[in-house]
Amino acid sequence: MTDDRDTISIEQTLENFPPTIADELRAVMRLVPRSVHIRLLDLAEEALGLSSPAVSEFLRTCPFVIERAGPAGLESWCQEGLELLRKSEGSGIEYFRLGTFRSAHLLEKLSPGVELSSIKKLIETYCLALIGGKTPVLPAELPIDRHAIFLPEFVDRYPSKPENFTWYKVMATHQIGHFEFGSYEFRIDKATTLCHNLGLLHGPVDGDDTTTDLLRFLNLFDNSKLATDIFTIVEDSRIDFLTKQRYRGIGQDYSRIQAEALSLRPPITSHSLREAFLEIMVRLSLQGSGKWLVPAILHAPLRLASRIMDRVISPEASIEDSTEAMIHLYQLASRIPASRSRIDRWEAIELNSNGDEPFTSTLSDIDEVLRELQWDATDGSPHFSPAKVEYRGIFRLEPAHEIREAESTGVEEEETKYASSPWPASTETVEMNDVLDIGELAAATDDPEETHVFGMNALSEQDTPFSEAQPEQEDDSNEGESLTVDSPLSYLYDEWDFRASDYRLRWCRVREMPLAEGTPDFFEATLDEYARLVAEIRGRFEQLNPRARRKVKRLHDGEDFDLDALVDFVIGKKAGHGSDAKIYWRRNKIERDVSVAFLLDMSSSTVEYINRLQRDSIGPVFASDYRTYFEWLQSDHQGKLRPKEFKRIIDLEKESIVLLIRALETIGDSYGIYGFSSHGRENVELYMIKDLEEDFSDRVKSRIDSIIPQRGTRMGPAIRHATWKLEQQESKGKFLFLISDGRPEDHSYGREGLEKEYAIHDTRMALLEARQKGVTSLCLTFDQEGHDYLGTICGDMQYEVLADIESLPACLPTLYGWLTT
Amino acid sequence: MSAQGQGTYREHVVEEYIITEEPFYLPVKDEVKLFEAAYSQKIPVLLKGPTGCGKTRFLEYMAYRLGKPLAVVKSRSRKAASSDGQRAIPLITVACHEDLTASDLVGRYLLEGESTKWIDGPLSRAVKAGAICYLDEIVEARKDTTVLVHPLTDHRRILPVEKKGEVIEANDGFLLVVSYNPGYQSTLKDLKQSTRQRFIAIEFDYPPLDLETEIIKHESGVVETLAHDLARLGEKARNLKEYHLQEGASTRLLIYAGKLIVQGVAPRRACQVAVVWAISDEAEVQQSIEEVVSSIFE
Ligand SMILES: Nc1ncnc2c1ncn2[C@@H]1O[C@H](COP(=O)(O)OP(=O)(O)OP(=O)(O)O)[C@@H](O)[C@H]1O
Ligand SMILES: [Mg+2]
Repeated sequence: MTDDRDTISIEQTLENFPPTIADELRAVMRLVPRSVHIRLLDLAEEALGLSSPAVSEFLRTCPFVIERAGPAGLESWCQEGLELLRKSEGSGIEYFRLGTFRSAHLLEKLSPGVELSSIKKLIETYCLALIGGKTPVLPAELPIDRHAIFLPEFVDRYPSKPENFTWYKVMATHQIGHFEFGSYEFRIDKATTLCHNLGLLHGPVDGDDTTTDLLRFLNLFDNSKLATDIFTIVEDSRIDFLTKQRYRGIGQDYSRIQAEALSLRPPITSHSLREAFLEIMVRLSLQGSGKWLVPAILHAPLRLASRIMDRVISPEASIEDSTEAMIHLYQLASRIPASRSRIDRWEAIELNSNGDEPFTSTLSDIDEVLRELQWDATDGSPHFSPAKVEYRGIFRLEPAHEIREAESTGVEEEETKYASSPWPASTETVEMNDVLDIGELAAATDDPEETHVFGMNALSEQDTPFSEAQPEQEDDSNEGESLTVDSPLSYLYDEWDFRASDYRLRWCRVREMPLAEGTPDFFEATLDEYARLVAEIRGRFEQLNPRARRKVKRLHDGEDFDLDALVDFVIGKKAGHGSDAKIYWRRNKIERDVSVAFLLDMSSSTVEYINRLQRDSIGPVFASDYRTYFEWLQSDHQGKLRPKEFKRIIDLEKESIVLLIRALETIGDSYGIYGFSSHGRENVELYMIKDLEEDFSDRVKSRIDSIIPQRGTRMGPAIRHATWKLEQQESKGKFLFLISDGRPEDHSYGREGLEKEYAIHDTRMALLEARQKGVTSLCLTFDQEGHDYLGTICGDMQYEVLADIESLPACLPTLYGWLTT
Repeated sequence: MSAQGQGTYREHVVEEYIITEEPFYLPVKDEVKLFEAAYSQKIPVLLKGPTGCGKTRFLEYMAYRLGKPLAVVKSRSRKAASSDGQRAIPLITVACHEDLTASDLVGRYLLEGESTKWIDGPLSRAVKAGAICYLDEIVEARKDTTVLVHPLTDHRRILPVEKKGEVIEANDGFLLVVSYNPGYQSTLKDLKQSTRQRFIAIEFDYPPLDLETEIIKHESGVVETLAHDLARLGEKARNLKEYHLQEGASTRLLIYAGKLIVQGVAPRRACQVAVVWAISDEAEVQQSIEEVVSSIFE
């Protein structure tokens, strides 16, 4: 057989590989379809010729790539990587690790599947439109939020992206339907009144406020798990009906997906009578009618159940109708034997929806049916839930109390970010049990039927063993891994790797940090010291001449004649009336609509004295080793007073900030001031000196006092975060002022430690990104030597090198005015 | 063409309507009753509400209702024509903008040969004719223009004509109505308290679903179910306001969509061009609204 021949030749080929790689190859081949084995060997061989670490990365990612993009996709994706590998080993390795933008992006393009992350915002806005309240969309693996809808992280059920998107859309529309059509408007008082009226409930319900009405209600039932299942089936059925009725546009896709769900229902063979009964109810909820082979003894109960369920298939059906139907169905189902016994007679049953013929079931109908069957009291067999209907997602029973209105974006952001943190995988059934807290039912999940868990692989025909090979599952945090968010005020950013000309994904972590408050003295002293400059800057700012200022007409005095007014005036005079001589116009200050973020370099290198001469005579020259700076800085900062005339870069930065604040308060632009420093890519710190939203106050003054040199200068992420902050502003004009010593450098800011080029390119890229996002940047430095770098970093963007603070007033308003008009 | 003479190029920004039959207007709340009461008590009215929600239509309807049949002053010469014993109430609309001056409203001298001639502005004409004068988007006007209406809108009911050294006492039928859309103006442009406190404010919003369905159906001629779907689309799109949109989809836009559908444009496409495109330029938001459209319309 050819199979054997292949196996033999594969074994032979494997011998040509180094043993470790051969082992890895064998492991991978067990995970991927046979048809790609030979090709896989070829590709591995080709990669091996270029770099052996790259082969390992390739092999680790490969099952995932095949799962997403298929064998053809693997080929294209791999070719691209090989090409890169030929140019640069480091970049190639990064590529095969799926750690770069280009790599991830290409894979996404090659795959017919749709990733939740790529459509999350779209779906969220869609849901917001449908129900008018913000509803976060979370990965189905994370059912922790009380008022969210849950979608799988990845869908590739169908061969094309639009079809897979439609699946998401139907799933979202169903789940949001619970909000729109009032599933959560359930009120326990109404429901219990109903029970009292039916004679089912005696005595009051305990007033437990810790849980929701719905849960409290369901817990009233002896078998609350059964009650929950019935309620879910009935309510989902109602929501399906209403959704299709109100959203005719999606109706066709919706029905198709329902039919698919129906075709995937498990056969009834191994069920207990009660399970079989519930299973048919689920099928009824999917289609309303059908012909199925069922235990003959269930015919009468099923006919009754079908008529009871019809009740919610109506445009007017409300949550109360569902509740009533559920109570009745529970009365019926709880009496059907739950133990597995042999079923003697099977007979097909045909159930039809009798929507037109109104039917109000009564408990006596139920009693009648049951009496004939002579089933008595409930039996104690464990309850098994019917297999889930996948497109219906997760029906959270909790949010009954309130659907919270929009959260502040901050909180939402936080949720989103946490969504990527590892969370114990749990099947939905287990989760429901947790929620319901109704004892030891874990056994339920052992049922083979229950393996229809919520998730991307659940219903796909072939089992997909590759999923455990996903690269992100590794937890050894070696040098080259993407980061995760670890606290509410931390943010992840990509970093530009110029050698690979690609982004390293989620490479840097920026933390927002408070800055201790010193005293306002520094602020006041600076103003005193530079009283003359302050006045000058102020004056210049006041006459800042933005191009877009508005012409105000009909004034007594102004820049020039207002011709219209003049004509009127002359005519008036001619007519013999002393018209008002408002015949001038002038440009007035417009309401400026500008936000500015100042990024202040707080790296250790700013400790350098500004003037070479001074520097040489005062302190050691610290090449560019910031650790030595740091030590020196501490000794220096602790007490030894510097002569006033010897200013360090940081001093000038602080002083110019003081002067700037003065000026900005004059013209009233909104501005934020952030200091930044870093210690490796995981620790880029952004100190909040004055947040954009914050008003200027003594506290801001006091924080300026505490600006001291810290550590490294990873400019890229700082710029990206400041850009993000500006993006949150609604102003028309957005500006970023980067005040630094002009030298980006940080621990491993570059492939080989302090590789200047890398840092410079990343910084430059960050500024370009800012420009793309509508943020205009200006770099400012006091260090003559900074000139060289700034030139490269800024390219055609504005930058300015100042000799000393005296030149600030002259240039600032010009720059600022140039920028902000 | 009303007030164009030699020596000046200025046109008066007066829109004039000739209303021959009853405008279609569906009352939403008690606005008709309120307006009637205000009119008979000569209390100036401020109409507050988003664009395209029916303010102008309401006023047309009230002008018609309060003084049917209605004759509209086309020019000064025709003013006297409101004869035949019945009290007709003209409606004179002025769209306010930042360059609107007092003279634009009150009147000015124009050169005529060697002499000059006084021409009344729309406000003077309304005051004399006993018209309802509608200053649309009052906040857009210059502050010194806005204060002009102060003596007209308190017990004095007079319009000073500075240039002529006269005051005009308002005709009994005169009423000043202004509109104001609180949505998109910045707070800086807010009305001055002393202006604001001269008006009662009737608040408008997009009509509730059922009414809006009926309005869309009537105005565009689409069938009931489609009108209902359009109204629902409006409701959904308005949910995005505050988060993603400056303004929700107006009734006017929904009517446009309906009209396109009546002309044979496919509903999804009609909504796309009339609604989706008009209310946002953000690609992602547009896409989301399109998904809503494709959920609702077949
Ligand atoms: N209650 C209503 N009864 C009848 N038609 C209405 C009603 N509300 C809105 N409309 C319809 O909506 C359209 C737009 O209304 P209208 O032009 O009066 O808006 P508006 O509030 O004056 O807007 P804008 O502030 O932009 O001038 C009208 O042409 C009319 O067809
Ligand atoms: Mg209008």
